[in-house]
Amino acid sequence: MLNNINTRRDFFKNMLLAFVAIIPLSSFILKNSKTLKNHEFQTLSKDEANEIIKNEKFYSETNIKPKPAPINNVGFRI
Amino acid sequence: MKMIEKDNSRREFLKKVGLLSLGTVALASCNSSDYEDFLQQNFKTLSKEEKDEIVKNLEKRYSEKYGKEFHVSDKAAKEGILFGYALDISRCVGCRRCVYACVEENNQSRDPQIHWIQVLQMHKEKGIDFAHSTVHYNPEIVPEPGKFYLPVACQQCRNPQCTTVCPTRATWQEEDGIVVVDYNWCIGCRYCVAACPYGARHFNWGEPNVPIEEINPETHYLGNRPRTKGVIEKCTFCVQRVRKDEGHYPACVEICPVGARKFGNLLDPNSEVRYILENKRVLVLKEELNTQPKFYYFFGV
Repeated sequence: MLNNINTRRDFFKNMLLAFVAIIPLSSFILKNSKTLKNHEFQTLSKDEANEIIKNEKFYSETNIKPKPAPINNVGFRI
Repeated sequence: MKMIEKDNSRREFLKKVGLLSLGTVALASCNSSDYEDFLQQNFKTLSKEEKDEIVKNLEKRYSEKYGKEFHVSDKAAKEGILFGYALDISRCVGCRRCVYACVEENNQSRDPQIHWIQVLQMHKEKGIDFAHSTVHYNPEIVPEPGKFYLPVACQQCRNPQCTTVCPTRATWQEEDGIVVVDYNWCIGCRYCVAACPYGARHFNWGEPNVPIEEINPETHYLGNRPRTKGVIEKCTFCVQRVRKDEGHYPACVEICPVGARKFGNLLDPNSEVRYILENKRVLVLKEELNTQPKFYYFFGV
């Protein structure tokens, strides 16, 4: 006689297996995405950038007359 | 018993004939190029022959309209190229040379003004703070004490939100990373304007106004060819220049008097922009949105 596999016990067993499988899979995806990002460039956070700006760590000696400011500019501002 | 009103009266007939003739007159007033534009397929789905024919027709039409020999390129992205941009915040003086070089190169409307690059002036003590920034500064000399400048244009995101919201697929990212717009397919819904967190998309509320003597006849179909009222436009890293075989920099890179702007192929280990990425710490705007811009800001100091 064929075993009936659609029992509640089987269902929970399969669910448990699925959860166990998700953990290594998700950590693998996460690890890979981080690796890709870090290999590409060293990021500077906004706070770190602000620190550089606030401490006036840069100053330009170039002085120049600016081109006119926009007027009637219908563009969307950031 | 109530009688049903008869619709087929002489009055109704004359009304319908009137409407029909009005419609015919409206259709007849459109010229053949309007029909061609309307029936044209999306640029991505066109064959080489179809593209060639469209480009030829456009060149003819623009040359007649502007009285100059126009060249409309449809040059596709090359394999092994991914364009990236780096901007040195510590060098930028906010002179807006880039803004106007971009306007001239890319045939942007002069009145009403459309500027693909916006140079934001910010206070050093506040840091990068968009809420307290201004584009309308107008001093005699820049840089002003206590201020710094942050030019912002399309960030050419790897994960662009503007392209995913487009209901007609009129905008997409090319293989070389440039986000482009097919002006013939844009319906002007401005969803992309709302989706772009960098304010990089600009809508033509009116008919663009470019003086004939100032028009740049060296164009690309997906770039700086003349636009019409009701379509979106944006920075394309000067697609008409950078895709040339001999390789040109975008207009803003060439014009920058302080050399704050760097441009190149991110996949080329010897490119300037790659050197910056490997040797400097770079900032991307609104990193938390996961748009993954290819426009990097850095401090050369």
